[in-house]
Amino acid sequence: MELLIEFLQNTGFGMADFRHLVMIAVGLIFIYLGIARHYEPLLLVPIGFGILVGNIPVFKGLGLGIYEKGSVLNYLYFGVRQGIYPPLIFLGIGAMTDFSTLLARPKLILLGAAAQLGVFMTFLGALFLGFLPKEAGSIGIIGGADGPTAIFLSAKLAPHLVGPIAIAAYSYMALVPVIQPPIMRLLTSRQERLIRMSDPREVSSQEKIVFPIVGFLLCCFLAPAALPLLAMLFFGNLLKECLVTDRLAKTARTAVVDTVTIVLGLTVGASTQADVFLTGKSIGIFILGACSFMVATAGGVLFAKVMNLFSHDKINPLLGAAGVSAVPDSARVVQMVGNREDPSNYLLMHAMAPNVAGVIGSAIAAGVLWSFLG
Amino acid sequence: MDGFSAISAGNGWLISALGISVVFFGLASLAFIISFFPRAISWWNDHAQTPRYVFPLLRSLLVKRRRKVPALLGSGESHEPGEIDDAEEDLRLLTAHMGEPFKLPRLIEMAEQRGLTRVHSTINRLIVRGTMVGGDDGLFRWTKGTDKKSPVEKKFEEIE
Amino acid sequence: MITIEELKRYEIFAEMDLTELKLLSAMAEERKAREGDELIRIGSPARTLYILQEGGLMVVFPDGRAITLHKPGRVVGWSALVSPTHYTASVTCLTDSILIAFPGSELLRLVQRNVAFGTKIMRKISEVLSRRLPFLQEKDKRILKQRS
Repeated sequence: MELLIEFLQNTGFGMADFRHLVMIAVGLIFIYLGIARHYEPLLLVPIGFGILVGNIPVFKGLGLGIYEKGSVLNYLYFGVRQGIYPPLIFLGIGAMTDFSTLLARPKLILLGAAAQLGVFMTFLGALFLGFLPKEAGSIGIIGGADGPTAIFLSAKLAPHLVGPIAIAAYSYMALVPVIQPPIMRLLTSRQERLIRMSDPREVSSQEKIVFPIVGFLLCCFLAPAALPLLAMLFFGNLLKECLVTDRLAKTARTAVVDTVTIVLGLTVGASTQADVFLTGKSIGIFILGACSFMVATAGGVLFAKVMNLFSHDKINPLLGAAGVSAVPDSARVVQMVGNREDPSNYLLMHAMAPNVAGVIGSAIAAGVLWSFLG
Repeated sequence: MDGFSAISAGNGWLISALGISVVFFGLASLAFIISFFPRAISWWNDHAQTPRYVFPLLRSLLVKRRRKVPALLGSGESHEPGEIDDAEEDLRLLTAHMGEPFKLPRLIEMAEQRGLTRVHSTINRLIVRGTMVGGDDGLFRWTKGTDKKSPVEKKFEEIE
Repeated sequence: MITIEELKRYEIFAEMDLTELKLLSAMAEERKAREGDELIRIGSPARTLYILQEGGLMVVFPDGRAITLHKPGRVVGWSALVSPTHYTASVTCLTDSILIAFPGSELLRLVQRNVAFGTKIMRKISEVLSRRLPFLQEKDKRILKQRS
């Protein structure tokens, strides 16, 4: 009988407390949102399942938990801790991304820069709330709306916060269709939302080949700390655009990115062990993360309005919201909000320009923060 | 420590100001450079030919473009026979430097970069009337015998 | 909607019986495209199969080689019927063109439901494929050989 009781006490049921249950509920919500609501399923399903994996109560010392040296999960987590996975994901993103809308209308790149205002405002906000500078930098980058960048920077600056920051970044990326529209409508008039963009010019294949090389050299000379992310992003894009390495590009945008997403999602999810995750800091991170997204959206929209003051060729200010990278969700949100005013106004193609510029912008912002705080 | 003193102590103001400036400067200079891409690439295409041909070709193209582009192909559906012939000459000039057989999409791209209008339908007409033919290898050639002397040769004779 | 008489004119539908033509005519749509328009982009999901009614098309393969189509009844976008349903070449209009568009998913459903129809149409598609096979990439060739 005593043996039976001891056995029962050693099962997950015996060792679980309410915190595990809370986290398991969070994991289930992620899985639900991914499968039933199609919110970023490729990310939320692995992360959600990872949260379940990380919150099965296990004996410390048996080499099972993600934070225990020698455990399988710990080996997989190495790629997160050392910032190996995010650049590999950027390779895939580069091999998927078509920069032609950005090349056709370069001034829209500035909207991608304006949206990075969210990163630095949140950095200040986190310092104000008492976070250490390195932690504040990692929290700020949530506003970059780029999961891999957020994980990369927090792994470098504040490894103990990777879990909550990644969860906050991906949650808000999935919630872009909920967070952005009210801010976009609040800051624009109906007339502005109705602005139609002229057709972009055609971009030659030579321009598309030269862009990743020039973009890489320029951005990395300016912010060398962004090298791991931007090198892979532009390299992936060169593989795609030069056409002669089509096989490599296809592998990068399918096999490589899928494999890394699985491992990254699962381990980031598993890193949210209740005892590490459910702290006051995590709540602060979530609040600041939401603010960060809002400020980034507002920054992009307002900057587009400022640009319109000085330009004859008016920009639909909704495009500013796509400067928050979250590719391609924020561009889709721009299309959705624009379509509500005028169903025949197609903004998606135009919104992709600030959207992909936002990816570059957030990587530069991460590089800058790392070089200042690292 | 928290509040504004924490921001000052962590160099928050300076880092934020410098950070956003670097991001803006980086992306703005990228936008600036990108805006020169079309011109730079067109310049490169014009200069990447065999040196022997560069100046005569450039001169011929400049003269030609000024003379011909407006009349080359109008906006109407059909092409005047003479206009197609002029366009053919331009295209032959380009293919002389690309080498024969040539890739049709590349020819279209180069022709458009040089400001020729309605390149697609011109090429369609040339193929339909048999002046240009596509081989089983997916490459295109000019039909032999339609022009005994290549237009490039003629052009050089004119220039010289 | 395209009438049965119109469809009958094209060689690809020559062997179809009246019921099959009715089904095809119900799903067919006329599509107009301008000179220079990119009708199909390589690598994008293949959702539509087109038949040329009028005009000229250029099919561009990944290595830059190309073929041009001018005769009415020529087919482009067969990838809509062959897994993994991604276009393996780009198609650009050489002139203003009129095409008949068939939604790939509906056509595929019809092929899967009706074996006789499926056999006829797939035979026609494989004739087109055999002409274009030399231009395809090794991976695509492998997939097609597995399918045939």
